[in-house]
Amino acid sequence: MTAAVVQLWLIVILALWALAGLWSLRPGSRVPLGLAMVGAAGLWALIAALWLALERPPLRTLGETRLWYGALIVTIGLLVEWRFALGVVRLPMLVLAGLFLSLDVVAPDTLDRTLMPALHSPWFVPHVAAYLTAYALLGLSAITTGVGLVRGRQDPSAPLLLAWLGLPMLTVGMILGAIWAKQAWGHYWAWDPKETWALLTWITYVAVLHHAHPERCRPRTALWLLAIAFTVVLLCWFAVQHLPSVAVSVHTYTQG
Amino acid sequence: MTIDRRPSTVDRQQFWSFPWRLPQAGVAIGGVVAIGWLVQVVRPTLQLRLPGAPWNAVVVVVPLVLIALLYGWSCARKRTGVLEQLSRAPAAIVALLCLALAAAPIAIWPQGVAAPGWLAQIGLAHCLTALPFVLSLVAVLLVLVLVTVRRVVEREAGWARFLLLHAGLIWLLVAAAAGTGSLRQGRITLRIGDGPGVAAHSAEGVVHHLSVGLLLTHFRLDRFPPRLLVAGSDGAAAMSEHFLGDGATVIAGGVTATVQEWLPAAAVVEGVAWPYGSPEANPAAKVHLDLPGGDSVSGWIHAPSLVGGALTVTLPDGRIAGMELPRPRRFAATVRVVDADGVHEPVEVLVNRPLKAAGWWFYLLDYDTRLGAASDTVVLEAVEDRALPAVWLGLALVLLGALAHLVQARTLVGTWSSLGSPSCTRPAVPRSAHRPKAAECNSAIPEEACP
Repeated sequence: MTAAVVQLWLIVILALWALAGLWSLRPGSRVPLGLAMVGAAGLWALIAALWLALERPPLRTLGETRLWYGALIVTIGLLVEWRFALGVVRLPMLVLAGLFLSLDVVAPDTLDRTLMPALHSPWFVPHVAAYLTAYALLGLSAITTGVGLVRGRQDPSAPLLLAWLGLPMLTVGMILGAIWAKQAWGHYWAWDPKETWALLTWITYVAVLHHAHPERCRPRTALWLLAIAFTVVLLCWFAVQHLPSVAVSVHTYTQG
Repeated sequence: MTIDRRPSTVDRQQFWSFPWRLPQAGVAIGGVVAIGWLVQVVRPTLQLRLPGAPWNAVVVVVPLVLIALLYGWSCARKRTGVLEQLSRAPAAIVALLCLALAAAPIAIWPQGVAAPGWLAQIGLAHCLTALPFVLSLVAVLLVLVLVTVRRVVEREAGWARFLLLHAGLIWLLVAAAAGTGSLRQGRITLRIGDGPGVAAHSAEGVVHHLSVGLLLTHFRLDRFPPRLLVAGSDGAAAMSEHFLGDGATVIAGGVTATVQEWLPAAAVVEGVAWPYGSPEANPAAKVHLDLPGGDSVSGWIHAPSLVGGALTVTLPDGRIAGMELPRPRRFAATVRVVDADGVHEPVEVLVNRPLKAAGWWFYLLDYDTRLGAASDTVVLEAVEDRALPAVWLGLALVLLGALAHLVQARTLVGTWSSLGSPSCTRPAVPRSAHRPKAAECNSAIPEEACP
């Protein structure tokens, strides 16, 4: 397994999803669904292959988390589409997942078998996976929100449902992280900047979802609040490494 | 004729009429927190800390219980008042946003001694004990208690799921907040050959005397093999994907390196690598390097260590090929616990596998990275947290409550419209200042579908 092989694999998946996205503009065909599923399966296979090749969970670098994110967005998007008949998520999920995978094609990681001692824990995968699942759900919520705002729709139900699914996963991720932190460093909550940003993200979504109710809020306001809330997710995920507080954080991603 | 535009008493009464919405909650709760911000800026050295056990529990728990009982009695008698408004969503939203704002400095700037000077001058170098944070946390707890009591008394739909999550949050926050008063923690440095470490030093300079001693007998550091590093004069560096080793072939930056000789541990004397079987020694490798243009060169590479400087090979294209410092895979400290019963058998302490002794937990944090595998010093974090079982219970309740909300997420969305079918939203319960307008309906939606 080399970085070039990973790049090629991702290009094939992106091609499948691009085809699925274009084909889905013609309603009534099942081909886009099949292409999306094949692409997702291929991406999960890539993640599994990386796990075997690197002899560690491929969750250490930003590039590796983007792979999981793309896979989770499409997988969860397909599940949500099937379970709740939300066809509106199909195209946005492919766009969002494709965007993240494209970053890995343009700026590929160097495959790195090393894993720092603190990450040798059974809590590593559940904690990060829970967060990525939450981010996938909130990302789908954000993108359907964007579509709704652009198209002038007045129905925030779909984005809100996705956010209501994402918030409990944020909670699960935080709790798993607290358990792991206690085992590794002796403190379930140390107000590390990343932890604090995670808390701010959680508080933002709790506040937004408490307000986004038909008795308290207009539909368009709910959509705008969801859009603003997702910016906090992006700050937590990407921007924290560029803030002054990163000097005292133990949650710094490494670039492969 | 002049028109008196001052808000009249009637206007103020109407503003505060029930039920409160965000503006009213914002003034009530946000106003108090804002005063806290002002006081903190004026008195930057003001810090609020909880007392030790048992007074920490008294200070935190007793007022909340009294408020809960008072409000429960009020709910049962169907009386409404300010407490009832504080149990509603607008109050919760404002309290949460106040807490987020109070915690934001922690997320952006370092705290404590590393905090910027200007941050300390406005009293935000220790946000967790600053007045805005404390007031916001009190507001959140108060709202949580009130809303939980109301939902339980009124048995609204989904109250069981609600109780699980929100009671769990109350329990968790109270246990964590009260627990800080009785928490004892500090760093303890152990060195091989020294006497038992019996004291832990906190970041605030407090010395905690342990009821046991720890003797460090051995330190072990497992490292990953090194990788090939190719660096250009512009600072750009490429690392091989595979490790160097005996007979290995790796590629970095377009350069193919074949290992011709491998020394697992080497010392370097006058630019020559020699086998040296010592923990602090790094590997050395004689490599044959092939460049894309057909050029090739050979030489020794070695990462710097205490027993030898770096060895590198200059490539024909001007780049430098070298060896990265081997990265740590796992490190462990073997310690013996010393107590009134004597010296116990050796126990290995690793990251993610702490040691428990006499009510204290010892977590392996660090070692002397200059010496690497030859380190004779380790740093442990000693923690005694009597509130931990209560915190675990709170986390478990919150986890179950979150999963219950996940399963029933669809019921939480609210009746905007039928999911999956385009329709105009039903207008919200009309507020006195707003009537839904026809223009708010999507033009693609049939008019008869719109109210």
